Amino acid sequence: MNSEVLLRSDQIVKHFGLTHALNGISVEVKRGEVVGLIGENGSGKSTFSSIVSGICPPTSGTLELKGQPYKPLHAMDAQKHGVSMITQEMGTLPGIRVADNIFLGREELFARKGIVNRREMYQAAREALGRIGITDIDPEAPIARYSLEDRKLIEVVRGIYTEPDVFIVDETTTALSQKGRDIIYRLIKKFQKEDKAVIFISHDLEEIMEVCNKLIVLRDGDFIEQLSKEEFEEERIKELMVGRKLTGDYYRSDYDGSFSNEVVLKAENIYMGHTLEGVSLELHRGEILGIGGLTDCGMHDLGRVLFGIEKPLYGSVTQGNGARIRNTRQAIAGRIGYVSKNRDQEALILSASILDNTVLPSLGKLAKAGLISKKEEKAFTGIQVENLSIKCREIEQDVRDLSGGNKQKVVLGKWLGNESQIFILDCPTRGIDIGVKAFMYQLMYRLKQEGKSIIMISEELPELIGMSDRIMIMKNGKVQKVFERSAELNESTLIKEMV
Amino acid sequence: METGMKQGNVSIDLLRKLIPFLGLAVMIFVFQVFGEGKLLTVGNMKSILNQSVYVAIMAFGAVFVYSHAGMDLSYGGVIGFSVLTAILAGRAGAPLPVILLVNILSAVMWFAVNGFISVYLRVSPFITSLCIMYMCRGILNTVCAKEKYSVPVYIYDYDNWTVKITVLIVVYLICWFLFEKSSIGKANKAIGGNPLAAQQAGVNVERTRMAAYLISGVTVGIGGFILMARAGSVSTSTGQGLEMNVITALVLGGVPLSGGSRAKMVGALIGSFSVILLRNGLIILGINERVIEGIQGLVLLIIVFLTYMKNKDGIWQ
Repeated sequence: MNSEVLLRSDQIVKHFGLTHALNGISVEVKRGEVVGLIGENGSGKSTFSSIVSGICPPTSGTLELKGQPYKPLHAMDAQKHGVSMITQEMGTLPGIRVADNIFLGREELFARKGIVNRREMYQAAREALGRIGITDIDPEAPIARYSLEDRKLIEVVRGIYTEPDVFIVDETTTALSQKGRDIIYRLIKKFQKEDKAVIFISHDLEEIMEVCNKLIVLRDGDFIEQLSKEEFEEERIKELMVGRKLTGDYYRSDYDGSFSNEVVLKAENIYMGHTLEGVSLELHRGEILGIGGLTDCGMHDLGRVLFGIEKPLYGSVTQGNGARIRNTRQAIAGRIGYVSKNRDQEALILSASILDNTVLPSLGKLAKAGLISKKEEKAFTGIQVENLSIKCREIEQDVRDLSGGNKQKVVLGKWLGNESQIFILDCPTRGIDIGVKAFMYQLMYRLKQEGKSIIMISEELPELIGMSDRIMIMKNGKVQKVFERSAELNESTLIKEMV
Repeated sequence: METGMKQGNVSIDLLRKLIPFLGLAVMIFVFQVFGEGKLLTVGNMKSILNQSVYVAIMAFGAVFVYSHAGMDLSYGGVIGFSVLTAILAGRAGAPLPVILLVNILSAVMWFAVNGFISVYLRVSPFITSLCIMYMCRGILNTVCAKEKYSVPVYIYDYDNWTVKITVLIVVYLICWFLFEKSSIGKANKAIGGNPLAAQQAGVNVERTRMAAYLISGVTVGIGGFILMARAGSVSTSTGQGLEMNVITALVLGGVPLSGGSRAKMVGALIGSFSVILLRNGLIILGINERVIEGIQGLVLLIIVFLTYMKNKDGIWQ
């Protein structure tokens, strides 16, 4: 194997104002390596990859690419040098066609005397999509027609079209289903075979251990450790990331799986477009009901229907006392809380404070003669910030500034503060580091023991198996099978029902 | 990208809150110094206050609309319409309470129309209110084409400082409590911040937005009464250009036109004085009134641009 160093960073430092995001990172990426960059939220992995891919410049320190000094001016420039990144956030532009997105900024490839030959461009896009095994995306169609997942894949096609030497995948797989993930994995293998390099960032430890042959652990902007494939060991990696030994169980340790007979939430025969086709379920007092399946199996839509965000075409959602749920206000009045999987888009007002976000569902309760006192709002929010140990400067700080895990805690704080009895959690641990994840699981278990009920919709099978009293697997908008909690339940059994 | 690590913008927050006050202070200083002391004379101060009162009253209501990222450009047209209908009612012999009621209801009507069309029929309020402004102008131009209608003489009695200052303070306090201390204001700010999150937190988005337009209509009506008592008559130009003053007042007061939690009621108060002071100060400096309109437009654009840059994420990262 050619072990030439492809990319070298020397003492890369990045400050954002007073915050030190990176304190001198020196690493090497060699040809044929798939390097997993790993660390908790705020450890600096995204900052590092942004610097490498030209999105932002370092405060100090130097980069070297193929032995030459490398100082990308912007993302396009980095791409010209052979470094391409798929970002964590959406990178496609709405309102234009698929092919235009793929060749954004590179239209001159198809231009003759300044006029773009669109037919040629569509053909090239079709071929590029086909090369990674995507045939059901029409390059001439507007991008808006495609799901988040498809758009992500279109972005991938854009990223690899220039045949980069260093390919950076930042938290991309969280947004993808198994099919999309497989496409990424195949691409990574291909890059490896061609003696190029991949930098892979993910929160999913299992995935990263599977895909990568080298790991770089970052913590609080510092380089902590570098591990080769033989040294991969889950417990050790977790310890390195968190910086201390993790005590206690990650998931709940009992296999009791019991709950009360009292039904607190009931869905009957829900139909909605092609996404839900006759779904019924019952949630009991003190139950954690897991719902799993492929991304488009309808489980996320089901969560929205249960909370009254979407109206089903047919069927009803009722609470234990017989009250119907037709909109979010009725759901909240019935003490239901909902955590959206699209946290920043739907669950939080990023430009508002922790306080404003936390009190929002409870304003009616806080008002005395129509007026809400600041003192009570502060006390109300203070309780949640303390109980959930939300790391913040002050409770009137913008939510935007918090890390992913702390943002998610604010969302939960809203519903805990409103004394919710039923929690509908859609991908509650998506994009959250291990420390907060463990906290979430403990919290869920405590809520269960307090007699509260939880629906956890998740694409992560280990957490479904680890936490649920019952697991309902959905497929093509229908309930495929329901599993009871047991120690024997494993992922492959569930996957068989999912696909 | 990870953003769990921004500190040290406490001072920026504080600065942001202080800028409207500093702006006002700087303007007073500059115009006083370069205006040969004509700014801070009793007569001129009265003139500034007189013009600020109805702009401020309209701006108080406008805060509700702009805080949920709504928009209304019809203030000038609607206040003109409100003055017209109230004067016609007064000439027909209506007593004072009815005149005031006509002031308010005729303004509320137009704001209900804008609210309904933009909230429930989902037409951009920019377009709807622009059309409403033109409709009101059209009505004024038609009705007042041949003659200028005057108020019944006793209405002039209400153009006094006790009434004006009392109304200003009472409307401000009511709007302040509604906006800063009750769920209606908080809900409007939440919608401006993120309508989806607001809805998922149980805010009735449609009804809240509609309520904002209705509140705004009420304050325009009250402003109409003050303007009517002061002007004493209605003509084709009544209220012309006031929409620009209201919007500039919000912007100078630090109310973001994109809505959200940074909107503050006190901003509307400060901003209203700022915009009138700006116009007044430029006149003192001897600048032609036509040119002042252009300057006002430029100032508005620059400040909107600067606040836009400030709010844009990338800058501080």
